[in-house]
Amino acid sequence: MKEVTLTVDEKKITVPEGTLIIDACEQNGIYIPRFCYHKHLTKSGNCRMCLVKIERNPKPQPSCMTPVADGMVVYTNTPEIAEMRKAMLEFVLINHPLDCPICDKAGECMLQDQYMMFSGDKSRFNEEKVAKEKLYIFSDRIIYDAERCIACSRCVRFTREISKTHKLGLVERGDKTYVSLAPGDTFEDPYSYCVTDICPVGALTSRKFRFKERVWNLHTTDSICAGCSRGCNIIIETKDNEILRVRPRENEKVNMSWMCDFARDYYMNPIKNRTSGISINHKSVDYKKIVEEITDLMKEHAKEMVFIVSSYGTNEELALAKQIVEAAEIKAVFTKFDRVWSDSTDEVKSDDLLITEDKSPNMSGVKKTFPNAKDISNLIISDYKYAFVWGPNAPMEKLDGLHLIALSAISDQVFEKASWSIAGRISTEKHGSFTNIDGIVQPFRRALKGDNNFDELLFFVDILKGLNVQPIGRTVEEVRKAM
Amino acid sequence: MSDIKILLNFEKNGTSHTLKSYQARDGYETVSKLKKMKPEQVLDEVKKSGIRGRGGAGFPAGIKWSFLPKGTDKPIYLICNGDEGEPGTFKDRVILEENPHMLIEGMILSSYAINAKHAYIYIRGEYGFALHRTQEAVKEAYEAGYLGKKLKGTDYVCDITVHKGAGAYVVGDETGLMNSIEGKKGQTRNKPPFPAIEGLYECPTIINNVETLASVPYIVEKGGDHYKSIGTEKSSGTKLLSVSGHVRKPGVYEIEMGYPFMDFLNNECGGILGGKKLKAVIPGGSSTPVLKPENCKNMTLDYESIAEAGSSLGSGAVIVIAEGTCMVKLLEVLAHFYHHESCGQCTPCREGTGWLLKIIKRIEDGKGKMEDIDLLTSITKHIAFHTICPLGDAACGPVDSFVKQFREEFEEHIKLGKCPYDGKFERIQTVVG
Repeated sequence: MKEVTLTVDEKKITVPEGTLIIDACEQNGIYIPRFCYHKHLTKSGNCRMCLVKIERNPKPQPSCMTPVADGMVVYTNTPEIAEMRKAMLEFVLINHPLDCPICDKAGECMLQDQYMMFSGDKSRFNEEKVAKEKLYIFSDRIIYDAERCIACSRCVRFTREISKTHKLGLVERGDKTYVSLAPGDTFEDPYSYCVTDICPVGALTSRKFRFKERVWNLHTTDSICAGCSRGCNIIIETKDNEILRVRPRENEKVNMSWMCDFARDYYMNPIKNRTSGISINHKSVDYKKIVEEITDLMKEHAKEMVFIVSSYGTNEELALAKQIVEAAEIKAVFTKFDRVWSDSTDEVKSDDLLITEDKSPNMSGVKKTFPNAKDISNLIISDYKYAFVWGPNAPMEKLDGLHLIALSAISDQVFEKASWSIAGRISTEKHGSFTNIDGIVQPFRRALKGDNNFDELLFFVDILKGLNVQPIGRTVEEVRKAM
Repeated sequence: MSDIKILLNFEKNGTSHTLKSYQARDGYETVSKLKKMKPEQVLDEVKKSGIRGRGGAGFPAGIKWSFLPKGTDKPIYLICNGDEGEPGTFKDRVILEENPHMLIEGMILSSYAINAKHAYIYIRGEYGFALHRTQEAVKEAYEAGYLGKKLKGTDYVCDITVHKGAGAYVVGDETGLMNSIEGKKGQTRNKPPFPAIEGLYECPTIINNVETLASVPYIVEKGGDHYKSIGTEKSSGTKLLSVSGHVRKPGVYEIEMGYPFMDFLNNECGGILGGKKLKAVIPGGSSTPVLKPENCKNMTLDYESIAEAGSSLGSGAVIVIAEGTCMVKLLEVLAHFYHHESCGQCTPCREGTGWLLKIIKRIEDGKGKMEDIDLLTSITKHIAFHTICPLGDAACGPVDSFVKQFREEFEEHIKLGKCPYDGKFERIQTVVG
């Protein structure tokens, strides 16, 4: 791509042709304040916060709407620009309630942050503020406070350009402007929570998170959504080992700045049917005992054993599982989808934006690790006597009559019937990586401490030791390096 | 004053708007000229005429037309801006109501010149009668074969659609008007792209004021050079002025550019009501700066002279203000208008116009503080030229000029703690001009 050289604040910078001034500056360490600008939405140039001085142009220009040009001379730090930014912030704040102490956005509010960065001046506004609707219930998920709204139109553009539901619009004029649904409508949109992320102020808030916690008390963990094979990059926010909020993390290649509502609700609700403990023939045993027995089973019965892989398994776990299968010479490996779409929920089956039909996070990783493994539907039961079933959702009729070894975080019929059962962890409780539908390998960190100390990776390591095989690694990092 | 009448060249007898009456005044004669004229020749005549946009900004029409991209494969549109919303302006209304065929003829010629196949006439929602008359005229023009059919001797077909606005001042801005035609909320667009490159339906578009387009038949008939000889060096032609306020004969007048203002006020407009003294003049519509009598003494009615006096010819809406008028109250009325009409899209105008109004109202109510006066001008400093469209600038023009010209009146309100005027202006019979 052609490169363009321009001068910003007397410093020469070179960026690809077509880059907007605001982006060119940010890439070179100059932050230009903004409200309506959002990287992944069309630019509307309406907040006027990002105005910069361009030489030979009599009026300051919105840097979010102006592409760079060769030889352009831009100023972002003149006293006039500084004064103008203060004035814009003063304008935004004259009708904005100063209710930061009770506003959920406080601490991550663009208005609060940019006011502190670029102004800090006392307002000269001594008139009565415009009063508007404070509690406008958009849906079960979203609430709108028209007084806090600064009419940046990000949410409106989101529903027009990204989720394409066209649910929101700006109505009325002047300082009476507010965001509205069509009369009688509700904000039904599979991505509606995204408007709470992109709202630069506390106008649009999540009813699930509202008044729950101050954002600076949250512990944040970079994670990967396990809701489908898209592998949206997310941030899980917890306090006292409880998930209070989940929000998207920007990734240009995967999910831009978005994630679906289903996944957020899914993370917010405790998962039902969790398994617990380690049992042999439904009697609790210790970890050492079950490792021994399973190792022995593998040594003695590998020729009659089928290994069924979990599509929730991490790439690192899969690598060790593969080592086990090869070392023990287990007869066959089959794959299965640990979670499938069902029409009994309101979950979207698939769409053009993010949601994929494969509702498990790592089938790509499974296929890469076990390229010859077939789907469990091809399993012929009479060929085997033992089955190692990893993860939930294996069809019981395919396994009936076999001796079952089950390793799963979610309880199902197979787990209930298994002679050897081990409660596993869900993805939020472990480190690892998933390979998404497009083959992108994405690491994630543990966000929650699970109830049990069990660790799938260590379990596989211990079995390998029992089989007298050197594991390729003993930690996630070691395995990842060896892969 | 010369008696030259280009736009108001007819007797107001209740039938001037009909095709029959228009043809009797040699209407649509220039259309038959097109078989011998190439589009570039029509454009050339308009360029030569030097006619400047009559909507307010005064940009030369011929030059605007030449901004169209050459050899575009997109359709080109012509729009006639009849969203006459500037307070004090009602001159286009006379053309739309009394002489719509002249506009249609002008639009046929202009469309031909810029190679537009489809033209729009956008009329503000409040102009019900003008809309009706214009629609009737367009219908007549279709029936007579001026529209919708190949013009005699050419392959050119012109279509005109009349579009009614929904009542927003901001739609008088060209890009706001285009959004409105497209069925979107009447809010303006950031420029660039400029309409000549990407306008209506993202196609190259030329948009001109009613008065500008209605002048085109005369320019084509008599030649651009002839038109240029009318008026002054830099302000050619005639101008419609809509006069309102404290004058004996308010109304719409057509004058030759360069006519002395005071003569116009005292002769044509019959002087100030009740023989009062002139206190102030807003010469070009509410957003142009207000002038004091001493500024107007040697002022002539053309773009340069009014600019020299410190204001602008704008849309030609002369608002005359007599002694006895409270300037703070008047500014409050104007500030109310701009606050009401702010579309709410961009921050400075959305928030600033309301703030201005609240302060001005407070001063008028006797609750002002001395520092409020400077606060007003420091607010306008950050609205003007920082908004997407000129509404922000328009809202600031009167505030700045009222404070500059009549600062002592603001101070008096604050010192007295009340408005020194009784708010009454004796009612005197006006003469309908």
